[in-house]
Amino acid sequence: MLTKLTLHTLLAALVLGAAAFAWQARDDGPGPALASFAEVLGRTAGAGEDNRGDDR
Amino acid sequence: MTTMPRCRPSPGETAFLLLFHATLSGAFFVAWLTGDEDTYGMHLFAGYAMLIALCVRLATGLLAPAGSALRLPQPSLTAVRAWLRRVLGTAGPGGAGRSPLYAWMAVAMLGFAAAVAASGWLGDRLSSLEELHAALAGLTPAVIAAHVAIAASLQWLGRRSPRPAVLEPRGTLARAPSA
Repeated sequence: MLTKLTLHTLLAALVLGAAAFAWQARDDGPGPALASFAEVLGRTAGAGEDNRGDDR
Repeated sequence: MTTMPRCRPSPGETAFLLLFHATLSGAFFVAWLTGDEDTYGMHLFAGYAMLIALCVRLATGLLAPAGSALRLPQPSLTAVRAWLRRVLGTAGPGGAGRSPLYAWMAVAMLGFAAAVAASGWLGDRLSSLEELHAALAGLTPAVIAAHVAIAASLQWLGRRSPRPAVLEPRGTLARAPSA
């Protein structure tokens, strides 16, 4: 059951993530939206460095 | 506080609960991942998806007939005490059955998700709530890790101890996600 719920979560995250990306790309354009998303992903994945919520 | 026994969910109810869990957790994940000014549009979209999912679940829980698996979870201390006696083997043979801790966990997780989503929505209008939203968001990884660990432990306990014989007939106790 846990595996099933985890898979459902990831699938929903993919679908909702794609929809959210389309939503942002509508305003910013696909290129800038993709660059921003890649930057945030890279920052999140960055080891030992957490800049989330940093307004500086 | 006592709870009315819940019927086993129909396939449609199970699908609804699974869809709700997937939507809420998936949107939660996207919102957490995009909690940055550069991806604010994605963050907003995911936050609104969470709010809509929570509103639909609340409405369904309030409108579902008594005994339905779609009713909102009703945590009970009495049920927890009885379950603990069964787990510890002091209530005779028969197994522990489904843990009433699922209902407590569902309420806690629904409350946490609602608090994060609502503080984000209101924080857009009241800047004083932005810090609360950021603080709650910061707690998210720990809360989700605890949620998964507790769910895995309860599932393991449920597998270890078979369901009590008195709960075997259909229409006595839910076995679906409690959210």
